[in-house]
Amino acid sequence: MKFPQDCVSIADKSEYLYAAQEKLRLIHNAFARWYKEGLTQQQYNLLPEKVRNKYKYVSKLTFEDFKRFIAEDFEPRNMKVLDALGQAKDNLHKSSRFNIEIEDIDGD
Amino acid sequence: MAIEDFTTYTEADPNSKITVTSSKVSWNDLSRNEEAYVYKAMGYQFFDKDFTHKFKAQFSNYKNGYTLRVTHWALSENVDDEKGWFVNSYNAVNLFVYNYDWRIYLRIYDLGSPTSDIWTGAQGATTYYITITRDRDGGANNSGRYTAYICTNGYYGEGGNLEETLQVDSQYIQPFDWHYIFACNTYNDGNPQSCDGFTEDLDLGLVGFKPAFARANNLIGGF
Repeated sequence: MKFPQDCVSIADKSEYLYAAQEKLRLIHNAFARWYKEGLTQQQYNLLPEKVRNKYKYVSKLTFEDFKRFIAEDFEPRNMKVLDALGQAKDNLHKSSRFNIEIEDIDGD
Repeated sequence: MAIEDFTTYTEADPNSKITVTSSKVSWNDLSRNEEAYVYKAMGYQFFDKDFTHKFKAQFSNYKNGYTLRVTHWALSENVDDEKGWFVNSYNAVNLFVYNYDWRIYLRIYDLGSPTSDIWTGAQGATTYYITITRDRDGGANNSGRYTAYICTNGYYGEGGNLEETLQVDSQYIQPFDWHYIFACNTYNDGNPQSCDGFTEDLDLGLVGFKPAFARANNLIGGF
């Protein structure tokens, strides 16, 4: 996973990954809407330029193109982000920054 | 697509909270003070490959306190409630709803040790279209990765609106192959919190599927 230069700590990377996951989710849902209900040209223009370069405007996306988006554009990125999130979580589990006793953990 | 016939499942329901029809398992006031479940014994190590399972789930009407807890889908090697999997160090993977703010957990128990991913954005009285995939050799330990795509208005990959993706990896050293599938299960720790809910249209993707025992013994042609 490539991170921006200023994204250094585990906390930075986790924040980046969760934001990336949300960005992917929203683009997925725009495509799902495009396939199920259709998009106006104005709504289509809100999609990222790289996506628009690959998927030209039609009022309603075909199921084949929706599946292509899932297989080529969404799923590989989503899996990579989830994998990196899992790694970040494992690293956070190993953190020794705080001295934690079980009594300190709020169980209410 | 082949929807499971829940009338072929076994129901354990001591307080008559669960209603089973061919395509739907629903419950009213199902609490943490009873051991109730609906399951099917599919066969020893039946789920021994990658898979995709799909089902609809809804939950509503929390009662008697906040921390309700009901499983909508699970695989296990043992017939027990979720608390039993935990305290008896069993293996299981389940998707359950917890608390009045409807947190959805995807959890795996490796010899009773839980690993979870959680979504805190679900709403009550909403039908969720849930797709769970298993990568049998995937994950950080190459012993199984489970991913749940939680959608509204349709399934993931079919135009549903993706609400959240949850993912857990088995922490064990090798994959488990599952025997039992559950469409409902409780966590019986003697507390009164309860809710209503259902699991509907469970699709195990079994069209053309031959279970491990049948494959090994060439009972239905093998692969």
